[in-house]
Formats: sequence, structure tokens, C-alpha cells
Amino acid sequence: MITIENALNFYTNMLNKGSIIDLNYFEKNLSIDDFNEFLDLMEVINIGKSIKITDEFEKHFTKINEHKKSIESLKLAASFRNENENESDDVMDELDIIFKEEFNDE
Amino acid sequence: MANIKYKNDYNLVHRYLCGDEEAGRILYADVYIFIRSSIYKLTKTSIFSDEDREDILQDTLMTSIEKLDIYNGTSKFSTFLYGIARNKIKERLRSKKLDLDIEEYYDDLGVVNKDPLSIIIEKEKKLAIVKAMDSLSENHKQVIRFKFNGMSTKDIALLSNKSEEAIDSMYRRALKSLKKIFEKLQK
Repeated sequence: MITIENALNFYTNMLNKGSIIDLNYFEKNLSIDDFNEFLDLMEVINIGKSIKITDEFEKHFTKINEHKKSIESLKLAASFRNENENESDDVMDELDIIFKEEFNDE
Repeated sequence: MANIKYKNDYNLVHRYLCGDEEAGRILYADVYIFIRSSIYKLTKTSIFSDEDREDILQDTLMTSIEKLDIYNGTSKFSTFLYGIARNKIKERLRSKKLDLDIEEYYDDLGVVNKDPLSIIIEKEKKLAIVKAMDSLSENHKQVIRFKFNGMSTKDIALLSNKSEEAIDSMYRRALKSLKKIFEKLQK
């Protein structure tokens, strides 16, 4: 048998580590009253930890979303010549001159 | 065109690629806990530090964005991410110059278990628990924060100059108070 204090401590540690949690273990090792209290308090632990992990997720999502936007702008810049070839000949001629000056030998 | 088996995932990816940010949030929120716990389980050996795990998670998510346009819906989006995570772990092991049979770790990775945590919890619940936390005494607030952040009872006891038993007992009382206020706020 374990105490309710041990069970709450153990459960929180397992959640923090992302371990597989078997509730049968707690049911077997706690008295009926303690197990009911454990289930009751488990709910607030789960919500509290979910808030923490949601905040963590939002930080990650902001980063990946910014990364996505930077990739999209790079793709746009890379296809600039193709997309604008027929629209602004002057600019493209100028770019060709610069390109030849820089890379003519290669 | 490939046979789209996972239409919901494919649709979310497509919408996200077209600029629908909310679709991206739903897509990643659905798989975040799975991929996070898979990486943590797979790297639970002492070879990896918490920093390594965090880097692998971050790299996996970043690479998934770079490869998003090749996702074709023939597998679950979580499987797609899982494949990237495996490679990131392999890369990390190589960078540590470790000659390990990493496949043995991968056996564990296949285990998909129902996580008790959830992403994007209901706004009302979130507000109620945040308010309830604010209403707690300073000691109770602190012990819950320390425990939720992964601090051990031993370390909390050392920091607060109390016995481990006293900390465990305080944690229980703090959770009981939190639950009581939380329920009151929800009514």
C-alpha cells in the first residue's frame, strides 16, 4: 500500500516524464477512499499540466509558423525572375547585365 | 495522384499551406503531445540531456514545416512527424559520435498510449484554473508550480528548508484547495 501523498507525487512525476501511466497500479495500492480522492485531485493536475503544455505548444507553433512564412518568402524571391520575365523587360535586362558581370567567367 | 487515406490530416495540411493559420494550429495541436512524449520516451536514456530532447523536438517541428508540401495523406500526419523525429534522433546520436544500436530504442517509439493531457483546453476551464491558482496561498501556489515544472520533492524540501514528508503533504493540501476553488469558479 502507498499513501495518497506518495500517489500524487508519483503521478505528477510520471506526467512530467511522459511515462505510461497505469491507473490500475494506483487502484491496487491505495485504499478505496484514497483512490477516490486521488481521482478527484488527478483532474486538477491534468488541467494544470495541460495549460503548461498548451503554453509550450503555442511557443513552438509561433516559431514554426514564422519559419513557414520565411520559407514562403524565400520561395517567392527565388521565383521572382520566372514570374516577372514578361512583365518588366527593363528590370530583367538590367539583372541580366549584372548577372553577366558577376558570373560571366563561370 | 496518391490515394489519400487520411483526408482530415491532408485537408488541414492543404489549408495551412494555403495560408489558413488556424488549420495549422489544429494540425499541430493534434499531434504535439504524441510527438513530444514519443521523443521523450525514446531518448530517456542518460545519453540525452533535456536540452537535447528540446532541440530534437524543435528540429522535428521545423523540418516538418520544410517538408509539409510533400505530405500526401497516405499516412497519418503523426506518422509523418514520427519519421522525421526518428531521423533527428539518429542525427543527434551521430553528432555525439555514438555507435549504438539505435533501432532498439525505436521499438519503444511505436507505443501509442492515451495521454491524460490535452492541448487547447476549453477557455473556461483554463480561466478557472488560472484564477484558482491565483487565489491560493503563496506556499500552495509555489509547491504546485515547482511540482508541475518537474522539480523533485527532495529539491523542493531543500529549497524551502522543510522535510520531504512536509512537502508531499503540502502538495496534497494545495491540490485540494485548488480543486475546491476551481469547482466553485466553474459553477
